[in-house]
Amino acid sequence: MRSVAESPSPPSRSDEDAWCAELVRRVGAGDARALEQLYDRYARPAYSLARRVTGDPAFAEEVVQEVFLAVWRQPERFQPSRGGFASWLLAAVHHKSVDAVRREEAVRRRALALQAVGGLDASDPPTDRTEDVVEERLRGERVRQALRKLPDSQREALTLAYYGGYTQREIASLTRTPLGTVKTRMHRAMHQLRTALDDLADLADLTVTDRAEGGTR
Amino acid sequence: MSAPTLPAGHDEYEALAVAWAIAALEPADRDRFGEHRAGCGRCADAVADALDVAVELAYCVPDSEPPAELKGRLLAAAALDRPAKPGGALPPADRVAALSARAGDRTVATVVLRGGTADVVTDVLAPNAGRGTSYVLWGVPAGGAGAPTALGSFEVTGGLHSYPVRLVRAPGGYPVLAISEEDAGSLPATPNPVIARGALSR
Repeated sequence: MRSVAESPSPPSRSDEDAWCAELVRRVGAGDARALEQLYDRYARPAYSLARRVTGDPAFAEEVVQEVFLAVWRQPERFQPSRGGFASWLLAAVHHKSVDAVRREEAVRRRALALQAVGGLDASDPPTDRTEDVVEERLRGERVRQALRKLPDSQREALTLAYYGGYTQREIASLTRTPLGTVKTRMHRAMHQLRTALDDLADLADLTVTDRAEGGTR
Repeated sequence: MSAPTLPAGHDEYEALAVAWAIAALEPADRDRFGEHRAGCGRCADAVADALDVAVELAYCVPDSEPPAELKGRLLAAAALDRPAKPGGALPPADRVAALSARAGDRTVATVVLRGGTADVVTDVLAPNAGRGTSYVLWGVPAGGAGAPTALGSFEVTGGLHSYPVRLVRAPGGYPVLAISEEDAGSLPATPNPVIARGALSR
């Protein structure tokens, strides 16, 4: 079993933002240990995402190193008032991965995108049992459920963009759909995904509450 | 609650915010939106909102463990280019060498030369306390001409840290640096088997 990092793990999602903001502040003061703690916490989801989008371990390493180095060089680019660190960091990883993929030839990207769409139905086998990983896997399952609730055309537009690295215009030509329709589908898909995730979160809360109250309300 | 009055065409920007969050914009739209967002709090919030959803997509990919040496490389790179800040942070390194057992293998240790000092950054070398040994840094002359020279010794206490080398000779003149483990306190004329070696950057 992987040893738990010597650094205190963020106790809960609600405290995670404050934990990260403090570490980013310390990075700004030149504290390499703070950078290391952020890396220990987020390198795995960052690398997993970069690897999925680029489809190449070497590209993925490059992207992850570049993004963490950017945190080190310009920590002020992360603004805690504008949302959580994980969202911000993984968005940077995603954008850089997509840029890397766009430099690659189209054929390879197409294969990867189709693979990404196909892979959404299967849950990946566990490879590690640390708390973070288990929690992230549950989180992933929740997103897969939410994605399955989307109409096929919306799910296609979203996954081709996010996992395949295609622009809206490319998706329009790939799926032989007017550009305006692709834009609308993407916008609706994100909106519905949010609603579905909120519903699933409410459901989970309800289950916990029911258990705590012995099922009486 | 009534929506604040927006400049004409602002709805379009909100749609761009969502597409931006999943990196689906054409390069021209991306630039245009980037400029707009910098000065528009409403769009910055729209992006943050959309990113909260997009991040969930990031969590539903197959789980892969990053290679162990990536962390060492990142921290060595960070040590190299720390921008000089008033009031404390270290100046950037002058030169650096990534040492590995064989060319192309994972990095065992990174030697950072800064001013007249040398530090070894590693989380791979085993702690030597209690073994009656010290690690020794060697300078290897160009083209294998002549024997390596012991430059100084250092101790490793465990975990990823920057360990200072007690230098007895300047390391800058050697094209290649190497590390061996020797009896504590000794700087022998020839090294025990070399643990790792690597070329020094210019």
